[in-house]
Amino acid sequence: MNNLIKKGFNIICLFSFTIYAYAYDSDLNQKLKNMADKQEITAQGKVLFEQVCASCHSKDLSGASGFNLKDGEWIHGSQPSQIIENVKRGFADAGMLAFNNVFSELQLQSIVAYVLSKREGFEGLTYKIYQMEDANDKVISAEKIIKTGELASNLPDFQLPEIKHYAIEFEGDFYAPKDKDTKIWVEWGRPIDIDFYTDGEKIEREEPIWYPTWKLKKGKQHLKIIYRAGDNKPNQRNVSLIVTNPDRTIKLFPISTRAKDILSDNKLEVKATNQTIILRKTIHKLPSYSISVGLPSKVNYAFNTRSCSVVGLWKGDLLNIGPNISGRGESPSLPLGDWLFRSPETLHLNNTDSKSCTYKGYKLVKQEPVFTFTIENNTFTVTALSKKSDEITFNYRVIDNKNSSKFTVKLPKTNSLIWRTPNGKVTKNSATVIPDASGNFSIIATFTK
Amino acid sequence: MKKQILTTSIASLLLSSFAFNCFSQGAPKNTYKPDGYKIITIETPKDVRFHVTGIDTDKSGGVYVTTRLGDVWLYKNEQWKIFAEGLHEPTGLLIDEDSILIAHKPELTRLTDNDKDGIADQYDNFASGWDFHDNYHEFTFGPVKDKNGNFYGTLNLSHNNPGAFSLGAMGSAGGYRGFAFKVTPKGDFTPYAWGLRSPAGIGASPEGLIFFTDNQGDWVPTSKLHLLEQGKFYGHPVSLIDVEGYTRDKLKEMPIEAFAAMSEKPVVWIPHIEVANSPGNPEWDTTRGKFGPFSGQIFIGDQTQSNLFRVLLDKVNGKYQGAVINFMNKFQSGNIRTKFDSQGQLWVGQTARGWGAQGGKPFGLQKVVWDGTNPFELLNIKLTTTGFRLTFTEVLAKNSVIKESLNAQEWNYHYSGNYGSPKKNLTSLKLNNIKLSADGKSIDIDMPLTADKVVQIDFTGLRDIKGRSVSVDKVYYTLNELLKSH
Repeated sequence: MNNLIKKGFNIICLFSFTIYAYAYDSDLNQKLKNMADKQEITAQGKVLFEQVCASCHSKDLSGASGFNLKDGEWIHGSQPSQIIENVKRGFADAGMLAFNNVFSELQLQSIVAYVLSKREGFEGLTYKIYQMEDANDKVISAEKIIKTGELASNLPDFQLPEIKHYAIEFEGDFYAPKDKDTKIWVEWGRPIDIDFYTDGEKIEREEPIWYPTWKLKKGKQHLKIIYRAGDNKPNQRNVSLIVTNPDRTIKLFPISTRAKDILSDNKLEVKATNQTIILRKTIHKLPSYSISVGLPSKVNYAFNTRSCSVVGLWKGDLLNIGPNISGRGESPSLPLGDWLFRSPETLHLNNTDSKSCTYKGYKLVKQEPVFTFTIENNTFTVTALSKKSDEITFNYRVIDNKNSSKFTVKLPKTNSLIWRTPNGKVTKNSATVIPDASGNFSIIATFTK
Repeated sequence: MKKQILTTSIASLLLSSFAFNCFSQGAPKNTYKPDGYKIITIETPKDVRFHVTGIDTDKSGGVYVTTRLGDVWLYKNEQWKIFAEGLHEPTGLLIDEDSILIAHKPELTRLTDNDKDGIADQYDNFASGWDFHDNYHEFTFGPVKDKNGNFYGTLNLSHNNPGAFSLGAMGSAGGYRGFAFKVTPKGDFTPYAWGLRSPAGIGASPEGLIFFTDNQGDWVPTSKLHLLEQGKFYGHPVSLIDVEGYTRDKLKEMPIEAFAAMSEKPVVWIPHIEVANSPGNPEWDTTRGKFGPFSGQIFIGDQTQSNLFRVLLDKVNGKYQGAVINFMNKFQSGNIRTKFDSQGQLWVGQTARGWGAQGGKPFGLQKVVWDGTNPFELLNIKLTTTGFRLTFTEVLAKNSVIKESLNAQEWNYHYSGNYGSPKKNLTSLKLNNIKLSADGKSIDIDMPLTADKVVQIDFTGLRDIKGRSVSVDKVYYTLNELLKSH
């Protein structure tokens, strides 16, 4: 009897504990979700994440040696309470430390809140497959449903149907970036009969014809996708859905299995570690004909061969060239650091413009590129050195100077840099210099942040 | 009765076989390879994206290649060594005396190794007189050199470029897109000819004439090979925005017939899929027999079909026309560049990124070598006043030289802004007579001839004296003109 009572007590205790644990987790889930909406908390989390987590999970949370923390796939549980528990305990076998003794509870919560705030793509994704009568049948109705299910990967898979005439519907909560406008992009989408609904409202299909787009709302929304296979060919039926920025120059993240395959090749980070790297690639936000140069001090600049000027300066690593060398390479390479200035702000000799400048090429001198160009019969060279991560020196040389002993260098407008020159005077947005006997002069920038 | 049934069956079989040949536009599914030839795969540097889009060979056996990633490498004594890097999606390489010229998107760059340490230390802007607008499709192809030391290249149109002028799929935002250009030995750039679409291959003949290929698509009904001549228009209208006398508005109003009348005829049409979708550079066999019996002929790789085909030039009434015939298939990736070396090996540079290829690999380098065996294949085809003379590499078995061993058909293409053209006016042709030459290697076929048609001759039933059949049994002759009777 006593045993029975004891067993019953134990059962009640276990049951109570389970309810308590469930309630606790549920409260914690809600709490962390609420924190993810508070900018002051996520800002703190961002700082900690970038100090500690980014080395394995990438600064943009897209994953490196550690998992992608933005997408819908959570190997160790997607609930916020599970995530914070995993951060606390770590995964020793996988090389992830236990952080419960490293950070305070509040700090850990801010990290998880930050991770949750960066969430992208579907959550709770479900699908329905409709049996259509023929290729011309456009009518979606409940009696045509032949299969339904959930997708744990939270990634629409357009290859699920195994019949010829079908429509497929995907539906779930959807996280778009909160801080910027984005679109869904269907590559080669002209023949694709597809509709998108956000929070129950149909989204208008936008041009261009071959690369149609649909505008998303910012942040969380309910998203439904309906695709009718019609007479699409087999390869067209595996639809690629990618979320991009408004002008489609940056592919942000995939939202179909095919798109994930396409974008898996979208990351190849080029970093100058022990020697200077020179790369000619299409670069986001920089004009055509820009040659990027990454210096081991983690300072990078771009020299433009049409304007013969420095059209960009950024701190950090050089470029993610993945978008520019995967698939057809339609998308530009992405600078990996933070801009100090970029075009249309430039560093250039005042009388330089694209009409009067002729780019001659570059030579490698001790691994550094020395660019040569002519302006109105004067020949100049420029190269840059950076010994420290907060300073860069542009060394100019005037060769066969025929016109002038004094030059003006127009400086970019930026609060991130303080300029000086040992060869003259710096005023607000320009430097007036007199080259030394060998024709050399320097312009030095120190970074203010 | 039994005999009659059998005859009917054979007739049905022949008919169905003919119908298949006649109306299919599929790629040959079989492996075709002349006797005595084999493909050797070159191991490329580990963990390097090695899409080979430019090749040249030096006299000492070195092979220089450039890759879409932007590198230049030297392959010598089975070792790879990097020579240059950081270039912008190069698609051409030429060894030019002591330096190397690279065609990449923004410029022709001359690479020089001044300190002779085996690595380029000078990257000179040799020519860049065109505009590159950062569109992915704006490739620069070339350079090749004529007998006077001038260089030539071609400039691809853009695709999906919002600022570009388009009358179909491809566009130009100006700056000589869709042009061929000439650069003097000193580096002076001149726009040379226009109307090009995706001219992915350019080559110089041993006589110094320049030829180029263009890829099927809008205003290009099927891929083709042209002789490049100054001031000529090659069919794609959007490049005309850079030609005096034309504006975007004027071009939109011009009828197709006006563009057609201005257009140059290709030397050969290259039947879509059956032979090529995306041909690369024409490469002349100048090996004087080291590569087998096809000396002097043109070899071209195809990026999509992962094959090689030959071009058999014929000079008719003083103008080039001729035929194409498949040579070898089943390469590992997309064959975009071909180059013979001094030992008679044909190097094949490959890429499949962005544009799929029959060969499953994304990139690579292979070479074709010949072991001295005389293959049994069509050697050449020439137009006669009454038909064609087909010459083979081996003496034919007399009993196979019958009409039933051959059949023929003709068609033409429809020129328009649509993406490619199906075969139009496809007609089977009756062979009137077949005659074997005295040396047993050639046959003269008498048959009806109509100008401006592609004539396909199938010679499946022919055998050589050893009983061999050919590996490739179809030749496609572009009959721009009939021989004028003297």
